[in-house]
Amino acid sequence: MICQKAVLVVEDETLIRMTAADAIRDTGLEVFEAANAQQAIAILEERDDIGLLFTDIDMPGHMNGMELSFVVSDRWPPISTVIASGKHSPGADDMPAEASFYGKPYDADGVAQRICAMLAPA
Amino acid sequence: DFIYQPVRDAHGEVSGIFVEGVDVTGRIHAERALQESELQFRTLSEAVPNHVWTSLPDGTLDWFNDRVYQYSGVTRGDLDGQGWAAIVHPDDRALASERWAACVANGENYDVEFRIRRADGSWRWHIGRAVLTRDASGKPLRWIGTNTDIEDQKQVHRQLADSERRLRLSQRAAGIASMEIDLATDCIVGTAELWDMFGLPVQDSAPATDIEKLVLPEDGAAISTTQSRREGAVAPEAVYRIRRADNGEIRWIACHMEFLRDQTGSPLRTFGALRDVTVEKEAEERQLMLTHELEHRIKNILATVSAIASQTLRATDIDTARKTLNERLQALGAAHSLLSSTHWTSALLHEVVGSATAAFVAAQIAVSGPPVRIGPKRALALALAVNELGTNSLKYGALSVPEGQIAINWSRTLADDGSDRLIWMWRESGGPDVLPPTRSGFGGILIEKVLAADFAGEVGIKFDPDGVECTLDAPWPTVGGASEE
Repeated sequence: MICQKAVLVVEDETLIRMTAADAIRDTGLEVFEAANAQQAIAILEERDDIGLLFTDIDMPGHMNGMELSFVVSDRWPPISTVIASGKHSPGADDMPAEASFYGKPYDADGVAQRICAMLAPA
Repeated sequence: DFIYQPVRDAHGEVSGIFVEGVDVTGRIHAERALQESELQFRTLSEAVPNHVWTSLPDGTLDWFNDRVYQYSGVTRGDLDGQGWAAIVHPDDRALASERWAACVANGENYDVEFRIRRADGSWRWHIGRAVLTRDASGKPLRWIGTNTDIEDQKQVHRQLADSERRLRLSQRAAGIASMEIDLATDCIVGTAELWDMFGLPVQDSAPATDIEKLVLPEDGAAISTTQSRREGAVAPEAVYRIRRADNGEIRWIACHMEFLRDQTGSPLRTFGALRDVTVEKEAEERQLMLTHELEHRIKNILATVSAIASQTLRATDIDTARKTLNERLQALGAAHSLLSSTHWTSALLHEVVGSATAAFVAAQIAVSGPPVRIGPKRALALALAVNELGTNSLKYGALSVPEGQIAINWSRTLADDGSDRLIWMWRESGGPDVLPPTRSGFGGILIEKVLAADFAGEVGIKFDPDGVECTLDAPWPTVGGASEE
């Protein structure tokens, strides 16, 4: 499957972020990494090829991943959102519309496949 | 009644007989009545269960009924006069005598409690009463007295008082306040503990609203109201928060309510037992938070393990992967043990290094540096990095030969911008010639990327022919700072 558009992975745990990013890269997608919401917004402001945000919820800094996902769906509506957390299990009403959720620990390769499918041209 | 008297003349001769006739019908009747009344009194005296006695107006006791003698086992007559005092308890004797003397002096009714000795030697409480009887002209005739056994009532009283005292003590020990709410007046009568619990001055009673207004508005639905109490429709258990009247402190109160109802089921009286459960509530909340926190931590650990496993199993043969994965998980486990001992707040840097190198020959490793605490994330990253450096050294570096040495040092240095920095170094010497690795594996990533990212610093590895040298240059760690976790 040939995937287009890049993915932004936001996760403060380096090891987990790297593993997720590597798995997504293996599907052929380009991946950008951020350790917090602030870094993520800086990358989004700089690039126009990000098609999907994959973010953790609990992260240091003044904005958590859930708040980030709302900011992104508001400022960059075309960007899809995938949220992951080991602490929270948000319902559909707690997340931006059409966002999907994975509980931690997740199967990085499985999540990467789903992300790739979401970005595949219809 | 007749009086016969000889009537004599001046010479002493009897000249006639003087006969005086007095009509004594009334007196005879009176005497007969008295005898009858006396008989009735004696009969009655022997029929009643009480001790009955009589006394002369001057206080000298002159008669006791059989019951007194049966009860006391004293020989008939021995109680007369002041003899009665002998069977009154020594502690009560003075009071009984004084009162008796006072009553005899002023003719007032006698009424006093004292213990009287029974034939078997036991003492039983009696209430002694006596009244002075007078004739029609008001002249004192005699005292009629009774002693009534009140030992059983006394005991019931004592038991009630004892039980009341026990209840009060245990309530106090358990921190229980009790109250009764009068349904008609809606007033609360409570123990001292009740007022203390709400931070109010101790008082006999107060309107229920005085206490109800201390309940936090958001918990108002939990408490009973004037209406619900009158209807008797009150939940037996309620837990709510109050703001204490004296210091404004928020406390949790658990209240148990009971109703006393009439035959139709309508509430007559309502009782409540209250307890300050703030400590339990706080412990419960802490417990809940800790459980949640623990679950989060376990998920994070599993996510980390999952990442390590997935990275380790990438691009390597299964036997090597199995061994490497085990080593990495052991390094992770050792670091977790250190963190557990501080309740997951921090670990000492030298302990992290020590536990990560514990599997190697101690004589080949020299560790030195100032004491510094690092947070959980950094401790795990450092443990994983040291494990990678160590296992790599065991395969290709200084630890692969007996004469090889590793020096691990760190120091606190001042950067150009005035900030404190941690310079941490791993230096190998005495090993075989070092060749740079042909490709960057996950071990290298753990050292260069993860360690650097988690310490928010830079990591450099030099594959110097004399030995591997790894340097971490990062801000001096502060536990609990914004950059940690």
